[in-house]
Amino acid sequence: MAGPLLNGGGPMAVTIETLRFGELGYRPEQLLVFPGGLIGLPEMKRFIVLAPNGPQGPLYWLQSADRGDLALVAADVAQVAPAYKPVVGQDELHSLGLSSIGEAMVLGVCVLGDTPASSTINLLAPLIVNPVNRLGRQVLLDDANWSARHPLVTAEEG
Amino acid sequence: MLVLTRKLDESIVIGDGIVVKVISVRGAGDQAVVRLGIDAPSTVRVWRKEVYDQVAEANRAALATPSGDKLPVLPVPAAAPRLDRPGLNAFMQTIQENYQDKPDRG
Repeated sequence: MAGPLLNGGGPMAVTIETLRFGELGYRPEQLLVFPGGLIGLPEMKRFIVLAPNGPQGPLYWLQSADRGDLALVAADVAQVAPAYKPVVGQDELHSLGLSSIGEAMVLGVCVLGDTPASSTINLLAPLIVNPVNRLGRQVLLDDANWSARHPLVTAEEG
Repeated sequence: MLVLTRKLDESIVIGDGIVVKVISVRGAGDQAVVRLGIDAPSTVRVWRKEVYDQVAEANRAALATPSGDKLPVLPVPAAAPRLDRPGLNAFMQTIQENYQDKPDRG
């Protein structure tokens, strides 16, 4: 065995060689699963979530559990844009085992620039996650007020 | 591409249970606007293509984030809520372990 695995390893642990993090161990039940994949990236379904800055993020890595070369950054929207209140249909919530959006963790896919000020977050199609069963879905909002390239930090906050 | 001609109030059926109906047509030439009504099962997602393309492009751009495994620390607005729901806490605990237990981090 090449190194320590998550939670001390065990028979269920799986490892994947990643471009960014080297070898990562995970248990399948720890993954964040998007059964429908991401919009335009249907193969991105299973993710290892990593929090280099601690559990409060607000930025996290979503490393694909299937493709070691694919990882993206997502932010906890509640922490970067507290006023953001996405309207998500009941059908979509139910498909994740949620009865209201208040139970969800809402993440936004980020495109990082050289600095936080030049980085953007996708608030047009947030990642709605049920933290209990770890199911997620990227929901495209029917709301022209939010952009797919919203500034990650506003001038007042930066 | 299959091309069909339809009049006002006429429909087409796609697969099982998806019906697209012409609700109204107004204007002509470059200014023409067609209003469509779509009946589909709730599992079928319907998007305006230009919006879908915008999101797909933003997702692909996110994959091209600069190399390395560090992430910038962001200023968190004062109005941000504390994360203190039990399910969320358990989830956060796991993702924290994911990073700390990385093999080359000891």
